[in-house]
Parts: sequence; C-alpha cells; structure tokens
Amino acid sequence: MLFNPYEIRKDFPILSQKINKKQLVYLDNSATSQKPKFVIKAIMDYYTKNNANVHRGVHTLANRATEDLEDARRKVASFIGSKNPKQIIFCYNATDALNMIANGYGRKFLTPGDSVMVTRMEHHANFVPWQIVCKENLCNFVISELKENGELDFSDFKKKLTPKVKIVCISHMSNVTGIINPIKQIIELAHKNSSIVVIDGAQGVVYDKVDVTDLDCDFYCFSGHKLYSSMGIGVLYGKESLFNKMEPFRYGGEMIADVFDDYTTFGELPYRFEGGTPNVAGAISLGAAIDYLNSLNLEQIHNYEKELFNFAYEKLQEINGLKIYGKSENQTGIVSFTLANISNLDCAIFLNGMGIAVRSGTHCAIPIMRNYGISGTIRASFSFYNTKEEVLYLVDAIKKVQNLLLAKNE
Amino acid sequence: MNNIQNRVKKLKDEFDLLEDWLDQYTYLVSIATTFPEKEFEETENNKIQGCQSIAYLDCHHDQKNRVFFYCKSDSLVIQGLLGLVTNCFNGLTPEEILDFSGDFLEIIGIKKHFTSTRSVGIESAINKMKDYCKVLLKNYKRN
Repeated sequence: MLFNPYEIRKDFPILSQKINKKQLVYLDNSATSQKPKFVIKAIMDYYTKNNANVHRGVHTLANRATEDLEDARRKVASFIGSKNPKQIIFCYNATDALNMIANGYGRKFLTPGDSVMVTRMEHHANFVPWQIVCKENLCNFVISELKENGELDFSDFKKKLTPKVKIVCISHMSNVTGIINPIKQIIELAHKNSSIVVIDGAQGVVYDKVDVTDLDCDFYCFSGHKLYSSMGIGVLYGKESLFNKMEPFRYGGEMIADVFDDYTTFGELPYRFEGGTPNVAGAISLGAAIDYLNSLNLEQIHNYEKELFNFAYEKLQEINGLKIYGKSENQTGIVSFTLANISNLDCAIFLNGMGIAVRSGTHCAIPIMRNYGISGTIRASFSFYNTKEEVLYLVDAIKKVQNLLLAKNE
Repeated sequence: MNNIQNRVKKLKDEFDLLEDWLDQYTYLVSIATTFPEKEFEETENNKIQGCQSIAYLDCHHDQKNRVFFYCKSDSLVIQGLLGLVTNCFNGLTPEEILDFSGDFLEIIGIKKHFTSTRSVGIESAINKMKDYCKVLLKNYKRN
C-alpha cells in the first residue's frame, strides 16, 4: 500500500487549523511532534476510566492503572528491542534520563584522571551534565570533533578514544543537522576500549529503527513527546548489569525495599529508579503512540521521511542566499539553514505570519553553532504527516521573506 | 497626560490602524530600517539579556540631563521594537522615564503577537534604561 500522508494527516486534529489566516504548516517536529487522536483518546480514557495511583493499591482502579503502566513498559521494550521490560525506566524526558546516568553512574564510577568523551554535535543535555560531573570528579572532558560536512570525524574519534575514556556519550542523530551517527560501529569501538556508551536517542528513535540488543547498547534514552506521545514522559533503557551498579538519582516512595533509621535499602528494577508517582497517563500515551506507529509500518514511515527530507534539501538549496548546515548520506528529517543578511528570528517570525511553524536559535546545541561560527539557524523538521506541497509552500514563503526583508534592508 | 503617555498613545493609535499581523510586523521592520543608526561598542555590559536575538543598548544624557538611548539588534523585528521604546523615551528626563510603568507591548496593543520570552527581552531593555536613569538621578542628587 502506498504511503499517503494526506490520509494520515486526518489522524492529527491539530493540523487542520489556520494560523494567521493561513493553513498551519507544522515543521517544528524535532522540538515536539503533534499527537494522533489515538494518543489523545488514550490519555482521555485513562483519566475518565482508570485513574489511580499505581503499585500501592489493591482496588480495581489501582490495578487497572498499574496494568496499563506495565503494559506501556512492555510496548516500549519491544519497540526498541529490549528483551526485558525491567530495563525500561520511565522518567520525564531524555534530558532527565541523561542527568540520571551522569549523576547515578558517572558521579559514582568516574575517578580522577578518567575521561568522558562527548561529540561536538551533542544537545546540551548530553554535554553539560557530563561537563559538570567531569569537573567535580576531576576527570577529563573530551570532545570528539566533526568533519566539515557535519559528520563525526571518525579519525579524531578513534584518536581520542584512549584507555582513559570510561564513558562515550553520543547522540543517535543530530538535532541540528539531522545526521545519523553510525552508533553500532561506535559502540563496537568503545566496547573494545572497555568504555560504556550512552546514546541520546531523542531524535534517533523518531527517524531510525532502534534495536538496543543488536546495538549492544549500554544506555539509550529518548523523550516520549518527540515520538507522538505526551510531554513529561521519557525512557531510559540500560543493561541490567549497569543498572544494578548505578545509584538511584531520585530517592522517595516506590523505589525503596526497606527504610531504617540509619539506612535504606532499594527496591528492584525498574522501580528503584522511579521514585515518586510516575507519569502514568504519559506512559500510557507513549504505549498508544507506539501502537499507532506500528500500525502504520515504521519502515514505510522512515522511508517517506527520508524522501521528504531529500526533496526539502534539494528545493531549499536552490534558494539564493540560503545555506544548509550538514550534508551526509545518513541524514534525514531535519534541515538547518541560514539566510544571508536576514536574522534567523526575523525569518521564523515572518514564516509564522504565513502559517509556518519552524524553530530559530541554537537548538540547545551551542557547541556545534560555535564550530560553524554562527549564532544559530532556522530549523525545519519534518514528520510523516508533512507533504511535498508543504515543502514547496515553505520554499515560496522563504523567498517572500527575502523579498520583504532584504528590500527593507537595502 | 505626560510626555511618555502621549507618545505611547500615538504609537497605539498607529498600531490600531494596522489590523493585519503581517502589516504590524512589516511596520516594525520599517521602523528598524529608518531609525537613525549610531555606532557604539558591543560589550557584555550593554547586552540586553533575555532577547532571543542579539541586542545591545547604549545610554547617554545631555547637559540638561535629558536621556537618550540607542539600540541595535541583528533582528529587524527586535530592532523595531526597541526603536519604539527609544522613540518614546528619548529626550525625556530620568524622572519621566522612571515614572513609566506597565507592560509596553500590552499598552501599545501588540502583546498578543509576542511570546512571553520575547516580551522579557523588551522588559529587560526598559529595565536597563531605567537603571541608567536611577544612577543618573543618584549622581545628580549627590552633586
């Protein structure tokens, strides 16, 4: 069956509205995705039929809520190829998960003189927590550089991957350039070096198939809201052996085994890392989003997104004065660009005037911006509900912005 | 009505005539491009915090203690907004400027087009202008 984005758009109620009297063209998917009606219904059903606090009750609603939460955990595990749902920790988002690893694992096991390696393309969430832990634990913070086309410079990576590097932190996919990193190869290299690998999958899980078992991944995390579920739910996957050594990051209710006056013992996986009432509705919405994606066929979705990306890249680069950042065979979903003599903010503001939602700024990735010598970019990020027609509308709108602002500037 | 209130009302009247979103923004851009440019050094000290674009503020006063501000930004929209504020404030006394209260964008009727983070940048610029006025008044009283 042919992939039909026009049919799929009907599943996303928000897309039918007008913004500034123009049809909404939502191209800010890498910041957050829109939600299909099935996800919205799952949240509504939970709160209208099954809401109760999980784990601690014996009554019917508590049992239903607990079952729904655990069902969502099983769906997530299966979606990313984890063999055991216990390896799925629900948290707030990818940032939260990365902070959990940096503080619960990094802070505990990094000793003075060790190194942590990140890359120049990281989101601040996979950069700053490690920078802070390195400072506090007197470790070296090593940055693996990029090639001019935005891909990871493998020779630099290998050179810097010394025996001192205990943890390698890398994004599955850049949230600025859309370049997908060869994470399987990176994990193999890092493991030969006895380093563990932390993968920030915030973008990668959306645009690429993930199989943590095949990847032999140590830690992988992502945010639910970028994967068509609600905000405030995230996933941290980890190997059981690592979780068993890791310190809980958040102490509190459900995560304990027993509490004495002078010490506390902690519960089993995954609850040891889920102190406090979890975002049950969020987890259920993530389960519903996964069901929805599976029903559409993930491979078809990714192929269509790649096709749309290629089309957008080609059309955008034809615009005079427009510069795209990043060029790779392994790139999809995201196009970051600047316009000569027009500020990114002005461009985004005027595009909004024409109904187009894009993002301008550093995209929480100042290290790569500084590398390019720019203060930010305009980022158009695509989803499977976007169309080629919308891409052409964007191209036309950018030309209008240029006419409007460059004429004023002359 | 004092000087600032008069100037702000005039601005509001102008914006009220521009109903369309795009017209209002285009008007802001024209203000930015027709506003007299003044070269001044860009430092961390005169950077306007909270602006989503890069913006700087330069403050002056003359012998009659009238205050003058100059702004620059890489964004024409922000430059236009800052131009509106400086148009209202320039040539007034520190007392008159310190007397101004309220949300500038709200008063001139274009708040709905700006996210709260973008409004913060304009608020921050106004606070910076007021800080300059406070220091000026303090020095004036001391002398």
